Amino acid sequence: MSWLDHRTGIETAIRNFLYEEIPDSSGWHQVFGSIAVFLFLVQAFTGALLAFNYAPTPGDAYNSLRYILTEVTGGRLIRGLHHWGASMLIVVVVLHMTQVFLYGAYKKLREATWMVGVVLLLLTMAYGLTGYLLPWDNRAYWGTVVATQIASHMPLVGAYLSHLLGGDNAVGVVTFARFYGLHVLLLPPATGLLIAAHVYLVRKHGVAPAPGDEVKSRKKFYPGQAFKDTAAIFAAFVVLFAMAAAVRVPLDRLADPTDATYIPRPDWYFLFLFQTLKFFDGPLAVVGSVILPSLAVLALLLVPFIDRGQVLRVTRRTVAIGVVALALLGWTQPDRGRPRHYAQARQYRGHRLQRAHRLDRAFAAGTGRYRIFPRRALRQLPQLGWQAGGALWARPRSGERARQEIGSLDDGAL
Amino acid sequence: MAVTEQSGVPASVARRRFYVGMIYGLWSLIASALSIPAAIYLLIPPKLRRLPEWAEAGDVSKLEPRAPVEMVFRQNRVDGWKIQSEKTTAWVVKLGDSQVVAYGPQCTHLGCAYRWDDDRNYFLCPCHTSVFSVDGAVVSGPAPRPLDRYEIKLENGRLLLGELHQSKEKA
Repeated sequence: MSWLDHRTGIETAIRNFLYEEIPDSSGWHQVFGSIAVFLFLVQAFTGALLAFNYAPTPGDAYNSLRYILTEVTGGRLIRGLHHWGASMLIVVVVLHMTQVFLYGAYKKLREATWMVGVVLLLLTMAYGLTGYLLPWDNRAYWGTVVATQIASHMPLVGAYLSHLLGGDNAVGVVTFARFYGLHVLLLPPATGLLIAAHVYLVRKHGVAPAPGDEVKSRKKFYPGQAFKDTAAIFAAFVVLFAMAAAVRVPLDRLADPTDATYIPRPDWYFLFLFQTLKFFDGPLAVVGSVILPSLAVLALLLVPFIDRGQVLRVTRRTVAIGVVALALLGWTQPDRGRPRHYAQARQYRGHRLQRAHRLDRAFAAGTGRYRIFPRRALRQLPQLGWQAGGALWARPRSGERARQEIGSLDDGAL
Repeated sequence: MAVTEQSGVPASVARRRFYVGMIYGLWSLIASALSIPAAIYLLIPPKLRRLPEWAEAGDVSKLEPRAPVEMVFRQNRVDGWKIQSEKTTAWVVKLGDSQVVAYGPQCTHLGCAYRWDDDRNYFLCPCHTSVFSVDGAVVSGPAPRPLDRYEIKLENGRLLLGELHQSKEKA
């Protein structure tokens, strides 16, 4: 016992934390929660760094972000870490949830742990929604217009939500302040508290055992599992750092409320919601925008009460595996096999789309099978709304590269 | 218990050592990969956008010799992501027949605004009573160096001011 430990008890606390007993079956499949906590801390850190050079008002946000990207040394890397870290956090949180779901680790006694986890998932998405506005480029502006409109159409609470988000008349200074306040003042401490509660509950009930663990002796978290968590965190960090360093995050043109050509699209992890909107017209629109998502969240919260069977070996949980496979398909492939979507998009985009088609054909002719577009053609795309073009090129192989080209152009044009 | 061939260390101990070494090693890599860019981001000054502009301060043809006048003018300044047009002042004094000098308006001690004292013929800073002579030199008080001077240009009696430079001299 050292001097410090006598006074603070910190060493004992760390030792107790690290020498937690875990089931014999624990291993690589349980690393995702640790990665999620790590990525959350990276987001907090890079977010604070960005805030040091960022002015959260519609008048200045865009210029200050451009300043971070073009003038501050290392600014592009920090913003890249924050941007790609957000996407990665969503992926890892979902992987974490998928693992818990597949292994049935939410069953009896661990229901509250699961439900706190679902709330944490919603918070993660709330960061995505509020952070989307902060660059105040066209993408941010129009995405938020759609999001606040959806909120205002909610039955019963729509009007209040609209007041709350400051979106009564239009997306402007008030909405911006509310979103920024949520993003940096309210959500982080809420997340911190809920993570603490989540971890406390995990410790209280212990890491969920698999069938067969009851006849084996338990092992310590440190150093075996701690090493696995560390190695997984490191792998995730290497991917994140590589993306932040190599893949440029596009900054669109400054938000332009009069731009009728802009086609707002949410970030990829909200695309499935975006697609759901298209299935319901008129008075039924609220089904796609509010009712279905709410039911989905409710179902997610109630998972431990719907599935109350005995804990089974993961390979025998065929229904759970099926549910996960379907959900993953729906989440990541929202565009597949939906001719109706394309028909509507075509109608909506009108002659702009035809112009894009003409450009597409004209410039694809000389560029071989990948259809990478010459810079001359790309230069015209900002006028066209590059996402209109991007959607057209979304063919296997060509889409990503074209998008990258467009992304670098956007930055180059700054 | 299995024993490794070379060292005679039990395999479980060797494995434990490996785990602990990797935990410390990988976390050190992560910590440095985050803290070094953060330090660069915060400590290295941003690329400077130069503004090769001269601001017109006023007419100096009617200046009395050795009688400083405070001139107010507008100047563009790069402030982070903004270029601000802001009101600035300079203390302008004719030292010789052709020599005009313009001092920056802040005391070189801690940046307070100083004033010309007509009765006693010196610049006095009210904060910590630094006193500067008419040619900017420190007479008394805690100021560490003479008054800062603007780069100047004279065109037909009009005074154009450029960047503000610190004097290399010590008080």
